Amino acid sequence: MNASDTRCDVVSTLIMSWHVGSLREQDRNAFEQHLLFCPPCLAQSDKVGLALTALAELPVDPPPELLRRLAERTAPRPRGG
Amino acid sequence: MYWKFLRGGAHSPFTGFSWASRGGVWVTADAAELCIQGIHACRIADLPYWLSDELWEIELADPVREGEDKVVGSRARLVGRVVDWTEQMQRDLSEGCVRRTGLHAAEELRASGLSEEAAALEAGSLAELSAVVVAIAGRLPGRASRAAVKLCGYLQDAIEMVDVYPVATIAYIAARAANQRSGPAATNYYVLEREWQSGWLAENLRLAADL
Repeated sequence: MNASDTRCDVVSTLIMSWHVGSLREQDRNAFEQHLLFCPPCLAQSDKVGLALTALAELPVDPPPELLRRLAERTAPRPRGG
Repeated sequence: MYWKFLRGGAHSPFTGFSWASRGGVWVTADAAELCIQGIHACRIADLPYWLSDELWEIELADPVREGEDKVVGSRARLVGRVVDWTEQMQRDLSEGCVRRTGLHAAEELRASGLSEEAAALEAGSLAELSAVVVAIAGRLPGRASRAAVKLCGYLQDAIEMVDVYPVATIAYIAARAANQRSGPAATNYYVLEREWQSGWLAENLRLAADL
């Protein structure tokens, strides 16, 4: 992924991966630069971060089903025309 | 010395790590809240890629790894805030980027033989520019190059967004717009526009390039 040519729908699919630290360096760089010039994607990433922080504070591990649904909710959605 | 952009309240842009709570003491990258890669900072040339609300001087302990558009260290401390990076200064840079987008559009119009339209883009105030570019865009089909048409589109975007989007957005639009310029294929206009932006920041914020 090139930092000068990232699209919101691509960035949206990478939010969970960024938060768990599994992006490659070049993709992480492009992802982070995109967040700075794209307030909607930054807000979406912030929400995921808050949700993950809340989950981490639970006394038990979150069920896989909950993590799967969270990942689904951060995936890109088709946009109406 | 390096620099680091932070969100309001001295928070890291992505992790939310609070630098203010560390009060200028050395912070290590293995703190849970920080990026696993290390602590990121900017040389002057890197600044346009990471624009945000607050700009700070930051000291990184050796070793410092040099990346393409950032530097990374394992220990750092904030030295002081660049107080000239105000909302007004951010607005000034945004307007400068709109102007630059207009200049790129004007040069492509001129290359298409549309000198009158080019001059109109260069002459108008920012407030007038919106109406000017809309009027010009309506006259372009069949007369202007593809690059000129695209650049007028980017200019319209930049004008519409300058009042509501952060400076990082407008600077990005300007760099993307520059990348539409016709010219030698080997010329990276995106990078050249980022270089103009870093020069603007260095001059207007009086940043000393001692590295």
